[in-house]
Amino acid sequence: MIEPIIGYLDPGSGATILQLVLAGTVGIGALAKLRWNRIKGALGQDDEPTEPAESAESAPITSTDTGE
Amino acid sequence: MIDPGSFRDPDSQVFYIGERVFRGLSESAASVDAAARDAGLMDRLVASGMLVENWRIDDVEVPAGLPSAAVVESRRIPVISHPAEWSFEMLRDAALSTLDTNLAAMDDGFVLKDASSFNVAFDGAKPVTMDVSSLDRIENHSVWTAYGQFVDHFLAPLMLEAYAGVPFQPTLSSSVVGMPVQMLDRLLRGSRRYRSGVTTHVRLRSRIERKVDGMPDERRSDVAGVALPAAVIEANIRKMRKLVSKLESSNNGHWEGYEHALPYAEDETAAKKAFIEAATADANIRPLALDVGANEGMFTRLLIDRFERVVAIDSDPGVVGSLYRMLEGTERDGVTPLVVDIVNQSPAFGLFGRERPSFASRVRPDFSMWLAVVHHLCIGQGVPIGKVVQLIGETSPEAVVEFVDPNDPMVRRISASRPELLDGYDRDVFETHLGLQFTLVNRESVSSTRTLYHVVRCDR
Repeated sequence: MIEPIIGYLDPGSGATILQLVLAGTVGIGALAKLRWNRIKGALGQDDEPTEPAESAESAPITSTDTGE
Repeated sequence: MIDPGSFRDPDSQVFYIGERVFRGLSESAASVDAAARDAGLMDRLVASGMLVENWRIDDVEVPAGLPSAAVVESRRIPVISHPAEWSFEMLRDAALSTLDTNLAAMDDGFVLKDASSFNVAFDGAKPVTMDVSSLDRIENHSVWTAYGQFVDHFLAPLMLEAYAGVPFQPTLSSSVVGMPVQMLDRLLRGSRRYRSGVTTHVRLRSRIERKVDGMPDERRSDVAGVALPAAVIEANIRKMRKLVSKLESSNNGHWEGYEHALPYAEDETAAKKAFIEAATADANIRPLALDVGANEGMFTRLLIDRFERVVAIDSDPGVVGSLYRMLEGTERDGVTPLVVDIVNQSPAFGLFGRERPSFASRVRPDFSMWLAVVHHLCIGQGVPIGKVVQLIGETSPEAVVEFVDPNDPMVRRISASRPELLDGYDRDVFETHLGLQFTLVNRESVSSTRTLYHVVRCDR
């Protein structure tokens, strides 16, 4: 049984991962801790190139964009 | 009475005794609440107008089944509105207010644990957070917990209107979850996908959400275990604030500028104003007035000194936004402009169809004003004249109503393509219906084709 870390409002896994992306370098560290390879499938299979709008922040997405 | 919309947060539930508003708190919520008060945060948020005035109270019996470790009472906000009734500027200001409350809380080691647009009320024309138990200790939050909810409730509908030119109100109507970002993703295609914030908050987020749907539980628990430093959470909130504050509506209202384009003669306007002033010259300040079809509020302002609160409704989001922007100084304390179509008012919705009450049950005016509205309802909307009079009677016990004769140029214009709609549209028929429900206090012709009536319902 996983203790819910956050009260009644579950931020959702997608929203959490996105915040790591938004967080830039700190988020990249957190993503690494997350055993990135296990969840890169969640981000991969980009059929269209992701626009690098947030400068370096989107780097982990494109650099690991090798699909599943 | 227990609030029918206050069940999602098990640590804090709203109940009412008469007109007074209370929250029953659990042990953990009571501890957070005490800490926020001790830190002076609650006082600061209230003093800056971000949070509604609230205080601890002891001698109140909490209804059975509700958390009761502590009770907080808050000032009742007279008019509760829903996001689907706000103009673009109102939703944006509510969003900024939510973010600013969050940032102010972070200075003291707290955060807002949710970001529902239903937590915000417009007190007059000022956004204020009602849910005083949304505060939580930041150490209980490893990420910006409310991010997803903030996007769905605020950012996505704002982007819909700013980037796609589609008014958000119909999309938020009867929605308790805002606008899911996946829905917006399908609408922001082509060059719109390169607008500010779309790549990350809409496209990438939707993509991740879709992938996450198929993610095994163990990976989800991995994700739930990540933690960002508070400074990074704060930086994300500041980035969001910058994005939201730059959004502008790309939708111009059909009726915007209408008041200035009207062919009314100055003496007609003066006669109308004098009639309204006489009708509302009651010695007592009464609680609530409703201006139906208020447009940009030329006559709404006459009611400000005579009523504690004035709700000015119009079905056109553009003019409601325009009135909201034009309100100045103390006008912002008393007037709440809302996007409401009087013949299609917001219904009750949510759990049991009662979680969020209807417009008619939230706004119960003592007086209503219907200037240049009746002919639009009869001819433009096809509502029989008897039903329009019934609507006026069901809305308030007292009213000022304008009737525009069939030979008026404006009436001729809107009936030009369908002259058969003028059948039964007649001043004698109107007065007969009016006489069945109301007592006439005053009647005056303000031009050759326009007559004002001040009426009081017979049961009063």
